[in-house]
Amino acid sequence: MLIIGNGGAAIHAVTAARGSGFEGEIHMVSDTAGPAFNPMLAPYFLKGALSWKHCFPFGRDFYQNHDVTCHFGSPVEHLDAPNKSVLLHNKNRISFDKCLIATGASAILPPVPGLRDSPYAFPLRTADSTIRIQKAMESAKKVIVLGASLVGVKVAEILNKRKADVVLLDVAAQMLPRGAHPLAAAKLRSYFEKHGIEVRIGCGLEGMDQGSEGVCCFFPDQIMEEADFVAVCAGIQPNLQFIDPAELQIDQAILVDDHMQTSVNDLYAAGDVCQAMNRLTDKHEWLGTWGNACYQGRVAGLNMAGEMTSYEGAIPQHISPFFDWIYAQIGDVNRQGRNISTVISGEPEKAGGYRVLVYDKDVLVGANCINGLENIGAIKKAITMQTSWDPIEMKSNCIADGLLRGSVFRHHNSSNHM
Amino acid sequence: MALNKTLLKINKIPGDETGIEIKKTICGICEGSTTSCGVNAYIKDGRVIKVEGMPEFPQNQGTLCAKGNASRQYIYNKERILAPLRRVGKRGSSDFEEIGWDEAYDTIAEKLLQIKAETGPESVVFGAGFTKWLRPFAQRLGISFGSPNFATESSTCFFATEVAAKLTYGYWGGPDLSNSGCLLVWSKNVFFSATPLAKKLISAWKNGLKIIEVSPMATHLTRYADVRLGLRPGTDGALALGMAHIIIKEGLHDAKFVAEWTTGFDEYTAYVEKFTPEKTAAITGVPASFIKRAARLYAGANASSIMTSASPTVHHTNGVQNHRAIIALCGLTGNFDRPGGNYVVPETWNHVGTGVTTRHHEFTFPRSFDEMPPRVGADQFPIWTSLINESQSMYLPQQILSQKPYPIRGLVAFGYNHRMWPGSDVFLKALGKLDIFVDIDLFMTDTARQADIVLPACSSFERSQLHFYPGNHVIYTQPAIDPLGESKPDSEIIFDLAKRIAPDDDLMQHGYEACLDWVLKPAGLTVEQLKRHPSGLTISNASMPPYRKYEEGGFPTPTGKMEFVSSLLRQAGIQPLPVYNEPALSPHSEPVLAEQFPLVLGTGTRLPMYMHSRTFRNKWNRDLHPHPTITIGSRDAASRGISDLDDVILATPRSSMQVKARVTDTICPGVVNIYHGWSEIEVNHLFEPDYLDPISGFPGFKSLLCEVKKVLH
Amino acid sequence: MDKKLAFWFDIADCSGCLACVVACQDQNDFKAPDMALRQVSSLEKGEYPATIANISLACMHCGDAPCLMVCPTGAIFRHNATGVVDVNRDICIGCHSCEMACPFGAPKFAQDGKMIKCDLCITRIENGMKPACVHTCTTGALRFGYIDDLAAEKTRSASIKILESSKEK
Repeated sequence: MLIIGNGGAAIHAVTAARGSGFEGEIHMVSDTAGPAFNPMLAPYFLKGALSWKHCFPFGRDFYQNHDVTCHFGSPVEHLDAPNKSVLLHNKNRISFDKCLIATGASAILPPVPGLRDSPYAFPLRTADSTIRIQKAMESAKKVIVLGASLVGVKVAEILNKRKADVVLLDVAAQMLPRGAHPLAAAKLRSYFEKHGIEVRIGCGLEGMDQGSEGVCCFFPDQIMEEADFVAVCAGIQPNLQFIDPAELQIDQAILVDDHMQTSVNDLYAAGDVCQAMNRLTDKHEWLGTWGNACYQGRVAGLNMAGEMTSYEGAIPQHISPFFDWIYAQIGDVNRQGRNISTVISGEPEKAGGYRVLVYDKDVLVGANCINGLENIGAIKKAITMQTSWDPIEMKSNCIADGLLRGSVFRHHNSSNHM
Repeated sequence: MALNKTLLKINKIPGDETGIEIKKTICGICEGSTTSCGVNAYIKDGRVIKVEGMPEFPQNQGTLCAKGNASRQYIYNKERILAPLRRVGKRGSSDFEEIGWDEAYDTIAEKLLQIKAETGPESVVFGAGFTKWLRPFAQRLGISFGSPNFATESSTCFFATEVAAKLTYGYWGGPDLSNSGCLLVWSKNVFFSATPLAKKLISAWKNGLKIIEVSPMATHLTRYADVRLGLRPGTDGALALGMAHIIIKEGLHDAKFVAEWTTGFDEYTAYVEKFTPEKTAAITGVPASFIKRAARLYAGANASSIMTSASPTVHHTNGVQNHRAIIALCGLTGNFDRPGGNYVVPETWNHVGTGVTTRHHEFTFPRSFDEMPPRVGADQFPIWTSLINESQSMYLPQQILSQKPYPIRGLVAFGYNHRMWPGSDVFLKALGKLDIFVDIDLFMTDTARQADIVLPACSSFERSQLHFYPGNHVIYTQPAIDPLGESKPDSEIIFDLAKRIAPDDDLMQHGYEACLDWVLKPAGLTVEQLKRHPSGLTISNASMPPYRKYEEGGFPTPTGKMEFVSSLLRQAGIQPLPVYNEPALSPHSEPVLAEQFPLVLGTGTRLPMYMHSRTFRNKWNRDLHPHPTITIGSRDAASRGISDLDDVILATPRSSMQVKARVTDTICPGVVNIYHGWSEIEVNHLFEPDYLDPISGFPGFKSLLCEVKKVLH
Repeated sequence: MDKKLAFWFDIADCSGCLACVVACQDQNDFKAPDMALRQVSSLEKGEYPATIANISLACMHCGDAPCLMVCPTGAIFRHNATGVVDVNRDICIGCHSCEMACPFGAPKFAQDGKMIKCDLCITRIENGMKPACVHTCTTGALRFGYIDDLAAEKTRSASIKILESSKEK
């Protein structure tokens, strides 16, 4: 068994395979050195919320404990799918019976003139890039954050808390363009601006160059601004460079079936590099989250070990603290159509929080909430199960009440006869 | 090791390692034969850090309700009064100054003795709110002072059922549950208000007990009930008479018992003739088939018993007669004082019956009422006065205001809540007329704010208290912690006052525990002995009274028999049969008014986290139900444009208030409920002060007319 | 894992008395408004007289806990001996991923922003006591035990029910 990659999916594949009783050789190939890193933890490390050691949640001993042969610091040059082998950068070749591609994704460097080779461009994804940006943050007084993505928004908060001037940029018409409802995004924008972060939406970066003391950034309308560095948070793309696209079905990422198998037998993919089923749309969608990677890795590992099991699929979802708020987006809040109704209630600072709920007929398909998230897991489950909500039938239901009214009562502790 | 010790500490594990000790006590939030749960108080450095039910205590067997679990928020509430207070501002202001206990006592004694000298000791009323454990001492204090007036919350709770029982049987008892085949639960929500019964009831049901539930709402009990009779509030009498009609018609009554041991059966039979199932259904709203099923089930079982509650059947203007009709079913079917029926167990102490005899009655009444001036309410409620050993508190405001038949100038109250009175604004006004009002409480309540002197009492965790329980269990608790600040147990306050205002009461001069020993003498128990049993003691050789006591010397009624036709009522010129009358304000009795106020209002329906007005200051309890609400059915709500949680105005002819609506179909259509204990709204302003049962003086709290309108924002 | 512990909850007997909620708050000294690790919801169904089902939920200590899977730092872990799912607050970063993953609303967040959850009162159990909520339950709807024992008990009562109903026929 060969695993290309050393992240959440890879680790869970190993755990599942060994747990299932697989006793054969497991080889792991990775371009990085050292234990598995969780990119989700990078902002928390930069915030000071956890130590560097804990950014590697599985530890150093994992590989020995699970009898994994490691080829670290050995990026894969080429995957020969029909012949079941990989060619490593150091010219070694490894053959396999089954292979899992779990190479994850990398930060996109958008095609802004001057960005790609600029020493002032700081993406945030890997362990190395985290250390690099941490150094840059130490003395930074002004930073341009390129991309109001989930990562970008977090980086903006971190810099703001360090008392740097922050400009948060996105070409889209709102913050969090991928998953947020425009009204919720607007609330978030006001909140960030209240903290002194300058939010420029519908605004792109047109170029970067060496400045007098840092970087010089070029904006529309011939505006030029100097900054200490640019944090590049413009999204991620799957690491597919070693794959011949003719050999494998790839859409935005590698397409996989319910068993995490690609279009090629004995070749599996899991994690941010793959595109599995979105339960809401019944289409394959690229939904890269740590949780998905872990579950997908487990399913892949079990199937590779001979235990047939299916992946349940996932829906888009995200939850994060931003300053003193907790923000959550689930499912499809921007769906359009004749049967769509949107229920908006509450305020982030009021009891029950702010809720945008999107129904397609009577099925809840999306939720965008700020604070008051005690039931968010149940809401997510409801969206996943495509539950229909008949208000008459489900009266006094705590979730229904909360969803429909978001009001003063805390429904998760209610006497049955009030 | 260190990690382990930290875990033990965080998790409050008792033992030497953590220095946490368990002390035994009882919860004082609810009192009575079905509550007063045994509690393990976890003590560290003289503070309670956790509570839980005492597993070995037979009453509650380790369980404890939402109110008891919040005990720490009650005991350590920052609103606790910690020193005696004297009012320096206007009545009703919060202008008080702290004084010493001696000064407080001296002030009180001086004034009371002055009033006694000027207009007689009867001008001073002694009283208590819900609290019961202190009553024998407080009542004796008053009597030894010379006043016959002991005015308590029992003027609106429980005692009217005693009146009904005494008028009919002379005495009464609770269900002999372990031997019952069928239990008729008439308006009691044990799962909220008497949780020690919850497991016992469920267990009995699982072992085959059939349950009939009478209630205007579906409750948790409904799940176990064979049949639920969802009646319009206030029509209980009609329902009971309707059941009697079927029982007699189908020959299901105990003809032998009726012939040998009752009077008035013929008149009773003639009267219930008109309560056909159809007529009864028309009055009560309960389907005729349900009434038949219930009657047959109750009368047909091997042994059936009736479980009633302290007030829902008697909180009506026709309450006593309602209740008489209900309990008459017991004798009618031969279920009185027999195994599995309603079993009469004489009172041992504080309205709890066990097989133990004490001198509680002799202690409480060192003098007979005949030797003292008539009590408050004696003229207005003669039946009450002849059968109950207290004043009728409902007349107290009127007597204070009118000064007739004699002035009331002083009031010494152990935890009064003026909101208990119907038309409670009138009682508030009356309090302002007193020469001296002493209120003893843990908190500066709105009532205490009217007082001249407020004395700080303490919780059950801070005092010693004697309590008996069904099953012959007895406990004399020891304080789990010292009283907070300068607060004192009410008992201590009573005996301190006795030194000053009742110096001739020799027994009281010997103190609290001496009195308890005196009371317990016939039982062969002593305080010292009880102190050696912190979890209490089960007196296994207590001899329970025999069943069918009436076979030896008859019933304690004028005729010596069970009275379908009450001699005492007849004597008083009141209808002696348990007749049915509509509540004074009902859709049937006041159809014109009902056009404006079409809904039937019941107040006081129990909530699991509140007990009267007691636990609102406990945050954990308050969070569970933070706002005053009414419950209303979906049809009644829909026709008024009301959705769940809308702001609404609840209005009766006398008053109105804004609350939130909870729409639920557990409640009867046409009926609305509201809990009574809120201090931010005035529920009892909804009632006129004279909206009372003429026989008992009890307010008609559970049947009134109202309307609900949505508030348009 | 030696023997897995679990809560047992009989929805038929829960009266919605809310004692379990307050017992948990008292055990854990919660001060924040409305903070409890156990929640009771009421579901009403039907026209008058409607039926009410009360559901008391804390952490289910799931055999395959989603919170454990999605926790990015591995702060959420399982006690080997009992299967109890617990959190190491020293490495919790307060990301709320677990809150999103749990369909029962078990993960809560304390004033310090870190996750706090029901741990089945495991330390009380290890010292011969019951979880605080189980100890107080007024109807006996809430119990706890080893999952094998609880399953056997459930099978036994189900068998008795089947036998009794077939007798009636």
